[in-house]
Amino acid sequence: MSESPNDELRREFELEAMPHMSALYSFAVRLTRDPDDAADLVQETFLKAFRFFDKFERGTNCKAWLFRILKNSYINTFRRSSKAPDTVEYDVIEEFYETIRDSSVETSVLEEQVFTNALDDEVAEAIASLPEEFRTVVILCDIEGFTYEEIAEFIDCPIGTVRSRLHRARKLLAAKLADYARARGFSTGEPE
Amino acid sequence: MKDSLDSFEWISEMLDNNQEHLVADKVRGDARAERESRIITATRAAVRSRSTALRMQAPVSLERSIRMAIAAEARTQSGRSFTGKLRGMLSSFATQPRYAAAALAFIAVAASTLFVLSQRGDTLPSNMTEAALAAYANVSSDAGNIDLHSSDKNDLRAFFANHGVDFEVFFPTVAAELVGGSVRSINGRDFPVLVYRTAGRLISLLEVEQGAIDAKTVELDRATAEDVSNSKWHWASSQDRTLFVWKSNSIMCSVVSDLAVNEVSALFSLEVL
Repeated sequence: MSESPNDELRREFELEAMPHMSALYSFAVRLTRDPDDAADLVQETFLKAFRFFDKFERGTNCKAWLFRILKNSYINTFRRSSKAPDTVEYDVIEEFYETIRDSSVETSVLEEQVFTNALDDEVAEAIASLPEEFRTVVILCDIEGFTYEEIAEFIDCPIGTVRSRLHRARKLLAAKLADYARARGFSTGEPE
Repeated sequence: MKDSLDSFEWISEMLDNNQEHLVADKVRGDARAERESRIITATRAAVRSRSTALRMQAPVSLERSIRMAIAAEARTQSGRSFTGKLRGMLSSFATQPRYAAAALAFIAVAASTLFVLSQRGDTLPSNMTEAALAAYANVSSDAGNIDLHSSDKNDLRAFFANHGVDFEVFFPTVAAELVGGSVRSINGRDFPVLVYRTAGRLISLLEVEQGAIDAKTVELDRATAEDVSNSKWHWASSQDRTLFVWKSNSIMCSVVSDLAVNEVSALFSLEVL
């Protein structure tokens, strides 16, 4: 039986777009901090994407296209109040670096212990604790694998801003992971 | 301090450009740079090595809702494009007066036939979810689309048998009034649609015999098939429709209504299904 053009389009869209649903949902949960809102946002994103699928250039990055639609939907629908951008926590970074500088243990040992042995939940919590602009770039780069160019287009900023935010975000993460390790009783003076 | 903390941004960028070896060369001999490089490398690796674990899986219910919403949108687009094409055909013939009269007459007959058929919805999509939604839309839009108005199960059984349904129709226990039935076609085979009413709202029940699914006459979504196989029934809701699917012996039953999920579940004796 031959399909109608609309059936064919729907199947093509589902083949192209549905594999990215979990990535979009995961990002949406981190964006909205609510699973129900995230589900609504993702559904709205897919509907909009299907309506404009004829405008999508085949062969280009569908995942990046879907993420842009999701971001715009989030801004239009879910982010009702504009807020001042979170300030960079330089104090946190400074304190962390002071701690490292004063440590009597080789910092290479500290990093191996803290970061390699970090629990999945701790890494997830550390990412969730980041201000939105830093959380976004870490998720897009280190979890979803987007390039700097794609991230720059997504957040509508120059590539230099992406580089800067990513670097600062990673340092904030490092400070958080070190805190978790200390809370778990990690000793900086005891080689293992 | 701000400047010194940010002066190693190039480390992150080079690592992300797969230039780890160049980073090692650049930081060698500079204790601060070496420390920064190790910290950034370790933090980056901590996240990347957990990227699968850090990504949340979308719920199956979300996937179902999205597929239903896209199917509904595709149907809406089909309706619009049919009308648009017809308009285009009519206007193109208007420029050729020699053949306009005969061509217009043919188009009018064809269009009216297609229009009547689309309104009656005798033919349903091949996907069972879409077919169930279309059957509901058809019978709920116009009472005239219910082929036989009757609450008598024997009358309805005879009607279905005489109009091409080649399997025994199942009448579930429903706390709603049976108002009639229709016969609808999917890929040339006829299937029954039972229509119920409760509190002024209609409920349609499309029945598809397992053999039709095995023969690919009717397509079943993987998610629906898995749900019915694992947990007896499949629920989905999208926009203002509730879909409820279950299998009774060899018959796949798809209920659609504009009632909420909890209202539909209260009507059917699920424990005996």
